[in-house]
Amino acid sequence: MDIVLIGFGTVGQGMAEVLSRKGATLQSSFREKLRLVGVFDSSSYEVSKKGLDPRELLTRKEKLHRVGPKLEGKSVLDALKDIDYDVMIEATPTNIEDGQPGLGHITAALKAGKDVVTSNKGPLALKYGELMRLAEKNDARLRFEASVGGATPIINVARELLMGEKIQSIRAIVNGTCNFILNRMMDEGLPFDQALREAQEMGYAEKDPSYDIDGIDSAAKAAILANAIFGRDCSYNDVRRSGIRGITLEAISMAAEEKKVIRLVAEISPSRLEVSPRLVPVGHPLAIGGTLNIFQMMTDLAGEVTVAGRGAGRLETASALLSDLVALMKEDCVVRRRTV
Amino acid sequence: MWPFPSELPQPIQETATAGLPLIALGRPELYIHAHIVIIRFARSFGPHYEGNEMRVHADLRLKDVPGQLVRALEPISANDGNIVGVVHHHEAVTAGRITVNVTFEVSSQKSLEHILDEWKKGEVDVARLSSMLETFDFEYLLVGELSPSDLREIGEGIESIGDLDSVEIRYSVSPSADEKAAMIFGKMKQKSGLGRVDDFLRHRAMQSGIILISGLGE
Ligand SMILES: NC(=O)c1ccc[n+]([C@@H]2O[C@H](COP(=O)([O-])OP(=O)(O)OC[C@H]3O[C@@H](n4cnc5c(N)ncnc54)[C@H](OP(=O)(O)O)[C@@H]3O)[C@@H](O)[C@H]2O)c1
Repeated sequence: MDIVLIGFGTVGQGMAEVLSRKGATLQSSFREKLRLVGVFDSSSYEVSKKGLDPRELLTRKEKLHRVGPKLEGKSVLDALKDIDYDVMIEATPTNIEDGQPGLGHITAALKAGKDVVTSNKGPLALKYGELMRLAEKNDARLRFEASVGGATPIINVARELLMGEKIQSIRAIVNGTCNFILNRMMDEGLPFDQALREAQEMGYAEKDPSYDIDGIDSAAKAAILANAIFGRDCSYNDVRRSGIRGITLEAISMAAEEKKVIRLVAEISPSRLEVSPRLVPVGHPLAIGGTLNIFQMMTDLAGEVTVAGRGAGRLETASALLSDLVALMKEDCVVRRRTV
Repeated sequence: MWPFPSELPQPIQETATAGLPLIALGRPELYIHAHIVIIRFARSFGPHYEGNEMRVHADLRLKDVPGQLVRALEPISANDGNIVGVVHHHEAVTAGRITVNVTFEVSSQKSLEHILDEWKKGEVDVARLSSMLETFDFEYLLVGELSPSDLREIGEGIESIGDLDSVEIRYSVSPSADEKAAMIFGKMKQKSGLGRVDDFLRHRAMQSGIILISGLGE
């Protein structure tokens, strides 16, 4: 399996590390060569038919802030045309306005009949239906476990392990930054602005925090879940959204008097698609602390199924990308066995 | 019209006895408990209210001979009742009778009366009976620029939605901030009423830039 990796930031580098750590084991389990044949960041790229050494790429990126020779005005899409690959791992920044540049990368790969594994929310939260139809038309596979919940498996759990169930609703906490802020306000009595600054200092929140605290990130994830698990064809713009900006200490202490905490909850069901702050009873799974993510599914047979885990991070997100990569390898393995 | 804290003589005194109404003004009732003001729009309907599921708990004393339990439960099903639970106390036999606790739902007071009639005819002894209307809870926390008169309007708005069993609004009288937080707790007699309360509050919140934080529901 020849892989091209687009985006060599936190997640891309995490993926390189994971490939270097797990590559050999995977190759022997699936009896298939796993090669990284191309890597891109915003200004440079590196290709090798024989396969690149992920360790070397990491060292080079650290030293030179590039992965290879400069693109010199060449676009990623042009460069891609000359690379022979099977799977694209797309990990460029999420853009919720138009999905670019990830949308262009994913579209090009699918059109060429290549499989795609991505952590990028933008293209999926905006153009899910189109991308899925494109994948189907070109007999390509598009997997995106890493786009929601970081390391926490949700999409594949719901679509594959719970395949026979009717999932009636999902309630989830999908933004660790908001959870961190709300927790600090409650535990330490910090006002909102101070808790936000702390989240920024600890590297949880972006410099422009609006993506987290106005519920944009959560809404993008809610749209992806609605599409992937509830069979909707909706976009980020269809999600009813309100964030946590403006929640006061008084509100938090008033909730506490009633043994409740405030959490930014994404709720997805056939009749609801919303991200909003909610009152959650203390002790309820959604009252989870720290920066963890949690998903509570209501199903017809199994009842409540809850998964929780780390929602972001270098190796954590790479672990979700890896789970999709392994799923592709496994499927190929089955196909190979059948055709033998 | 009824006075709100802003219209009450200041300073507001704290009540010494928790939960005791300092000022009870009929409907809605206004309580001030420590620094919290509680406004309660309550209507308590007895079990005579029609058209709403009623949950009934009955302690029955049955003769300790076979067939008695069936005889006691049959009238419930025959009158469209839905049996929720039965607890049999075999060990406690007094005067040849054993106690059975039955919990069931009926759709009207009339059905309950029929059941009671049939028990009487069947010599099923009813030791204790209590009933409760089934209600559907809602809860919200509002955050933003909320004056007492805004809250009054909101309470009245919810009240005017219909199907309301009760609603209570709590807020702090601390004069420090413009940004206030207020809790709303309520009960609806019909489940469909919950959606109307939600629509009303969402609309109201959007209009006046208030943050609306809703409970998780069931
Ligand atoms: N970080 C997490 O924990 C996490 C968790 C879940 C999902 N995600 C998603 O995963 C994706 C990557 O996140 P990240 O944290 O790794 O972001 P990041 O650290 O900002 O890295 C983004 C990478 O994409 C490269 N890039 C930007 N524009 C490009 C272009 N036009 N062509 C090629 N490469 C381009 C950047 O190049 P330079 O190196 O040259 O700047 C950088 O290497 C995002 O969509 C994010 O939402 C992240």
